[in-house]
Amino acid sequence: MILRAWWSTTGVLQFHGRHYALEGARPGPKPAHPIGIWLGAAKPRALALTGRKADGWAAPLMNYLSPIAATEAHEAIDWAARAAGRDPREIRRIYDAPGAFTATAPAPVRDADQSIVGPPEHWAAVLTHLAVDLGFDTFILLGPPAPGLLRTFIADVAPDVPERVAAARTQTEPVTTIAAEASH
Amino acid sequence: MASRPLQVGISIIPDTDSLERSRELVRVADEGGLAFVGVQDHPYQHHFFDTWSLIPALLAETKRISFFTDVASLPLRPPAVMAKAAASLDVLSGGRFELGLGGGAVPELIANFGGLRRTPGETVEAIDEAIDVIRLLWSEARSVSFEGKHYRLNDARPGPRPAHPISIWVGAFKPRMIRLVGRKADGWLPSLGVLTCDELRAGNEQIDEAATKAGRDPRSIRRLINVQGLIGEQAPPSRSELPVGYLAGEPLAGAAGWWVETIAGFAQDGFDTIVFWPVDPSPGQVELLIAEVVPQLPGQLSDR
Repeated sequence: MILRAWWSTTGVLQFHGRHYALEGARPGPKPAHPIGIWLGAAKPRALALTGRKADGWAAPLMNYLSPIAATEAHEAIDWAARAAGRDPREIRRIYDAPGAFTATAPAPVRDADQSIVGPPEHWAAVLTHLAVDLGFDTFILLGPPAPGLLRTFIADVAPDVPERVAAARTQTEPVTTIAAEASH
Repeated sequence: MASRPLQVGISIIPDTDSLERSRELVRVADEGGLAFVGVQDHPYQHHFFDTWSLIPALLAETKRISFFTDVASLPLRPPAVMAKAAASLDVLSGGRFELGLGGGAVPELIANFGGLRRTPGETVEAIDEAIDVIRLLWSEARSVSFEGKHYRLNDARPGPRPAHPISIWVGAFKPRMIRLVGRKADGWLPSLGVLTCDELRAGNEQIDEAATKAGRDPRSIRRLINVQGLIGEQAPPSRSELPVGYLAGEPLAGAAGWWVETIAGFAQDGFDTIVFWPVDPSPGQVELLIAEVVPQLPGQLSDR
């Protein structure tokens, strides 16, 4: 509440919450662009708050919340967003993925995986799957702080994913539409 | 009186409208070999940048000069977080940060901003405790605990360690806080205008006494003084013409030679660090300070 009003108002702010109070503060400076507030939420009440008010959901790291477990959280956010009259698609979904690059993928991909391990092609496929089927739109590569890993990610994975996602979305468009209609 | 070499710095006003000018001033000060740049901390001023966000941006544009908070508003920041921020800036800048600390300038504005409203007595206690908390968190200990009236630490992990021993300079104006400086601070950071020259002299004596009583060498305590003014023959603006952010009291003004004498007078009164607030915040004033005032000052200017 306070942050939002802060960034948008030019008048004097009064706020009396249970935890925070402003007795008459003048906001400023105004941000250069609309800053997104991404909530790190894991449990039902925080997820509902995310759906109701936040600009984004910074999901728990992949090694704490597996992709399959994230599905329920997405649904909780979507539900709360719709209940608040918001379009759930406005809420950015951020996922931090740890992992490593290896010559071959050591195991078949499962939605219970806690990291991404394999060649760049495998990474791109997993991220595309997480975007298209599991609702995430923003991926953060979670170190180790190794320049080599980062370079491979930037050169061989990152550019590939948006195209794959676009292609996959085109194929599944009717499904998406039906899902959206069903929700209203 | 002053036992350390005289050092000179400037203080800038973190106005959002004058960011480019602030950048220019600190570059000139850095290249000219000044010792310090101070940045005041009044988060409730809507046209000011956050001081702890502005300082790192300016540190990144300079190479040698040190920055300090002139002074950091304690009621708006937990001291443990302040300790961490100070240590981080020190590490990131290679030892170019010092901590000016104060109890908060205007209680109403701090409360308006969601900060704690403290009585003068509580403010002194809080600064006293905050100094302990901050030093604990700069220590080499693996874990620290502290049980105060205002602040508590329970098995808190210090780190990162500062790159150099960061000094805590307290903005103190009244007797209890001034005595606290003598008892435990690394420096005193008052302003001319808020205090008169007589009060400043008296303050230095009170600090000497309190230090001696606490078994400290009074000469180990740095004495800084914020002075606003204009270098030149022209008439300075009056205080009422200056924008928000300047000090109480009329600005000083005079030619370079007059400033040399005035600063020598402050040194006589026990001050060793002069922080100049240019009421005309143009690079020209800082250039004059560097070219015509500093070289004429008694003692060597800088140990850099």
